[in-house]
Amino acid sequence: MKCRRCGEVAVIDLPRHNAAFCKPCFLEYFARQVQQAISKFRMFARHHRVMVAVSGGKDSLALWHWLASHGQPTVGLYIDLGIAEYSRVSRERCEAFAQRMGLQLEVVDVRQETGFSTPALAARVRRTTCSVCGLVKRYFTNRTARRLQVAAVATGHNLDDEASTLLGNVLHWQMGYLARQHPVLPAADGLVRRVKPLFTLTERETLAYCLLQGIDFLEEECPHARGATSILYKELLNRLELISPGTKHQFLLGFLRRARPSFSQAEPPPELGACRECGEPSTAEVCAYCRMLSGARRADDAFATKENKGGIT
Amino acid sequence: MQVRLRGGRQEVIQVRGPLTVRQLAKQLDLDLESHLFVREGRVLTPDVRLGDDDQIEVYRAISGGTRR
Ligand code: SF4
Ligand SMILES: [Zn+2]
Ligand SMILES: [Zn+2]
Repeated sequence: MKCRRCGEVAVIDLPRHNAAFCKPCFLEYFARQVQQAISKFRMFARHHRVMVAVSGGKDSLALWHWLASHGQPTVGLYIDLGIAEYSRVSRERCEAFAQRMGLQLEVVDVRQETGFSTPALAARVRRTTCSVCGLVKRYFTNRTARRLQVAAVATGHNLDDEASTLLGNVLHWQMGYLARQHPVLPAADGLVRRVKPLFTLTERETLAYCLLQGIDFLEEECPHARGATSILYKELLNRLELISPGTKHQFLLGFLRRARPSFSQAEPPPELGACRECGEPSTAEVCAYCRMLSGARRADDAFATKENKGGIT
Repeated sequence: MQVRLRGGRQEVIQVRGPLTVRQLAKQLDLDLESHLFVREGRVLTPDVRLGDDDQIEVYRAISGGTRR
């Protein structure tokens, strides 16, 4: 295949754009997609400092790499969840990347902050690791973004992530999620603005970006990866995409343009106050994070007391 | 040719060439929207012909868990 723009040998074909590109032309295409997303959705300005939430995986490192190499002031945020080997190697990847690129990386260690690893917290409050992980990540991301006074938090969500989330939300008619699913979540009462600059690029395109730029990303996934449903949705959408290129893009962009406004009107965002204990934004008097943490501490105390009495072995 | 499926179990499969990337994907039941094929560090389009001595790396694009 030949590059559509310059006629050189192509490295990637993009059926949804009826095109194939060589490396330089693909990188141009990639840049145009990101620039358009940032400017059309007014994500942030060129001089704003943006915090990039990184996991060591291809999407977040592709995003950080692109922003940093296009002159955007950035700081990385890595949250060490204390998930055994996975956290160790993913943290290493992020630190190595930051060092190689000469970028600032903030690391928040959940074990240092709470005294527990994320799976240990989950076990104590009898919730799944992923649900506690989501809560902990949202909490520390916002808290760190406020402390560093960044203009926005950027995450590496791509078109496949967004389209498969939308499919799940539609299948279960999650009205609140449908009202809020958007590439930009504006700042509100202590909540820092959140943006997804890669949301028009497919997962295959962010992978190609990493391979072409020689980014050393982590291929292994978290051992708790929910697997089944979110992956099934992505695979189903990809089957549709193969038969009818452009399906994922139409599904998501059509929703954002035509359907989402009605959902947002029907479901106004909940009112936020400040948590009495920690000051972070919350819909209740004490935020979900503080309640979870005190629950875990209570469970731990009860456990220790029984152990001292020889009740539990 | 030797085909290495990266991520997950890092399976290595022997496949008889010559054939194109598209034919290889079909033979291994890997869809082209969810995978990228790489030879000697170069990403390949579906029409590229692969020979018997080639070493191919297959990257899976879908994240959120592995099913292989
Ligand atoms: S799979 Fe679950 S536990 Fe692992 S990083 Fe994702 S949300 Fe967190
Ligand atoms: Zn070109
Ligand atoms: Zn709180």
